[in-house]
Amino acid sequence: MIRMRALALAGFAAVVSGCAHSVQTPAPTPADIPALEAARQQRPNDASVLTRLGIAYFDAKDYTKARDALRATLVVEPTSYAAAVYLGLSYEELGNLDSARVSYGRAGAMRITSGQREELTARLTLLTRKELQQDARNALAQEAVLTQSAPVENTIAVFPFRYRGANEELRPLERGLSQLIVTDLSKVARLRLLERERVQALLDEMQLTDSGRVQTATGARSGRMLRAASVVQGTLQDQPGNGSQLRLDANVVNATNASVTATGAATDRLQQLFEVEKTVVLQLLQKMGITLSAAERRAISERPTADLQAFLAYSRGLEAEDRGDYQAAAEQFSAAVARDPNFRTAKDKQAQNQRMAAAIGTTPAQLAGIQGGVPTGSDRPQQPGTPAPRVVTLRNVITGSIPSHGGLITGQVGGQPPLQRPPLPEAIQTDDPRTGGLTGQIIIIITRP
Amino acid sequence: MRTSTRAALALVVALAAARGAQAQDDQLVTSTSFITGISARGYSVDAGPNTRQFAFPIALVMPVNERLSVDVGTYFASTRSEVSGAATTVSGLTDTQVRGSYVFGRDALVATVMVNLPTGKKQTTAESGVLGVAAANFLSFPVNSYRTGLSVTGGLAVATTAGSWNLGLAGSLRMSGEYTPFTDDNLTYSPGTEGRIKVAADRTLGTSRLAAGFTFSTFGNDDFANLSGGGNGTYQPGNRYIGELSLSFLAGNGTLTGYAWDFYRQKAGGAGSTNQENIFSLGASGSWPMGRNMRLEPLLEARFWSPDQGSGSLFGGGAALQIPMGEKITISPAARFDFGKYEFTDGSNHNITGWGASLFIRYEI
Repeated sequence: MIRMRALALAGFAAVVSGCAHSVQTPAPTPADIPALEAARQQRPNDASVLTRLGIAYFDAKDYTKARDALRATLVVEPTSYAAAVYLGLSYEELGNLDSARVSYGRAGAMRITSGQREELTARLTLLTRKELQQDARNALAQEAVLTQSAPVENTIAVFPFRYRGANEELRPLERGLSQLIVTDLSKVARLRLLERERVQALLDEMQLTDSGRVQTATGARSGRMLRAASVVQGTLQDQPGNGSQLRLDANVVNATNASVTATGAATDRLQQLFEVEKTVVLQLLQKMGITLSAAERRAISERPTADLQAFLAYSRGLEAEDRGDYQAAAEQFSAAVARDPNFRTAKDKQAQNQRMAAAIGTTPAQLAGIQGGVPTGSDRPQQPGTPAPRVVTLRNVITGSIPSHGGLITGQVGGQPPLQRPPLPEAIQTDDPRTGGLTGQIIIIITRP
Repeated sequence: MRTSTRAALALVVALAAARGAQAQDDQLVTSTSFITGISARGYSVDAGPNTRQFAFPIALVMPVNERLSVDVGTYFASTRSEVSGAATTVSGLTDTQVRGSYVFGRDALVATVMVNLPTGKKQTTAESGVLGVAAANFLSFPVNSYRTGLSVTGGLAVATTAGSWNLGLAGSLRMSGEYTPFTDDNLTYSPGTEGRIKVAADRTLGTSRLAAGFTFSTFGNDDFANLSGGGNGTYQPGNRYIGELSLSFLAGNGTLTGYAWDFYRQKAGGAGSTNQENIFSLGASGSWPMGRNMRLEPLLEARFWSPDQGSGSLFGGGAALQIPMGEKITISPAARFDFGKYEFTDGSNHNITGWGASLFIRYEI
């Protein structure tokens, strides 16, 4: 079987060797690995073979070998988009998310279509979610060290609020209110707010119970792991016997010693939810000793939407996003935008989640632009203008043996040995740069009358 | 418009049209490019001389068809050198070089012919000093020679793979005609025939790429006639040897290359010859994307010069940017700064500072 595949590959190479056009073959599968390994033995500098081998290793889930083969491809052919994308995917699988980001960045710097750029952007958004989860895992693993580290001054983490009530339709407000408070506090110049998603990722990793989320000790512990100076925790509850009134309580907890440094509370009808939230935020800021400028106060007073139903849909979207259901999240954000077309945050979230939903549905082959097959053949490049390795060698020896002005004019200043002899200055010895050409003399070995 | 210019333009258009929309992945030249811009370089020695050169390159590189490619290049250059308060400037065109390469088979054997057309400015004997400094191999001025005679260079190059290696071999022969270099002297000069061989090898090494090369040049005698003192003469150039080594590897989302080369020129034949020299260069260059298409290409380099007497050293760094402006135009600004020392033949030491700047514009037709 292996021999048959090797023969097929060899036959294919023979066909393309007589053809100047790039040809595509179906994307490789793990079954092709032995034949491709044999081909690599014969043609170790063939970027096409290396790319196909890397893809086959990736599909076989041998991500270490895939990484090595694809890195080798990029050394031979730095503009291989498919290799850069698959290398990024391999790094993701190996848990090396920083390198994955670098690889996608490398791919994004190539000349690609707007569609490919959108797909890469979506992949990077997904990667950010993965990074948050990895950061949370790392924080838990390094808890002993992190809890001894000094927090970053004025950094605040806002926990999801706990809803204590019977109306399950209001439970999504746990996350919506948290996001609202993050947005409002971030308008204060001296405060640095952690992204809600980062805080949520840590809490998900810690698998806290509902009650755990509002305990000051737990809040302080989580805050230290996030290197936050303070944590905002709180509850939202129905007011018994008071119609549709809701009460919002919030505490600011010092992450270092778990003491409560500020509290705020307000009660009103559900329809006045935004007023309640603003009241609590302003109370907290006052008790934290922060004097707001007029511009900051004005910015905090702005509401993302005046439509409570739109905000509820937005909050449901955050819930779906946190559980990784980006399609459902996009639908909820879309519903929020449908109710209030001026709800800009919901609009942004809708687009972001649509991208992430599309990214999840994009296969590696689609992302790498090889769903129609992999460009192959002897040293065939995948980007226009990229020379095959042997052509590079040829250019090198031609330039070295017959240099010309046209061939030597490049954008780089320096870096090359002298290739063209200036005959006369050498013969009359004026080419010593120290003399300014003033000591010229012709070295005559034979003088004829 | 002169008839010859019109004819040349028509030829370029016709050749570009003949090229059509072929696939060019394995061609020596994949697209028609017109390159121009400015390249400037200057060096100041605390004891003099101070030399600077502005060069305006003009080059056209184009595939005629899948097998034949042509490049044409020339410069307009202005070189100024000041020694002991006396400055001389030479400005004018350089020779024009036309090179054609024909690929036999599947990019395995290439025949190349280069013709040097003597379009360069003739010099006066008083200007030979300026042109001497520009010719210094150690300094790498963009233009090291304005005018030589008509010459034709023919050569063959082959490339093949052997195991993990790409191997290349090229040989060439340059035959030069007699010419009169000076406008104010009847001296005639006929450079000797030059033979040159270059071998090169490259391979991937893990996730790096290793490349090595060696070039050997040898020369027939240069003949002089009508020497100012009377009579004829012969100059026997020394052989040249160039060794090159480079290693490229991925660094972040870009590529880093470490390189070294050594240029050795043997002493010329004849009694009293002192013009042997060795130049050793060690450097690192990189290429990293900045934004969507722009690339940053920094360079660090050290260069050591060992002439027959005294020595020289230069340490420099710089960077170039590759900035695409749409699909067809790329702009490449670059700058560098060097500093170092000369040991003069009398044993005294002097500081040298150098600078370089260039702006190239490449238009892909």
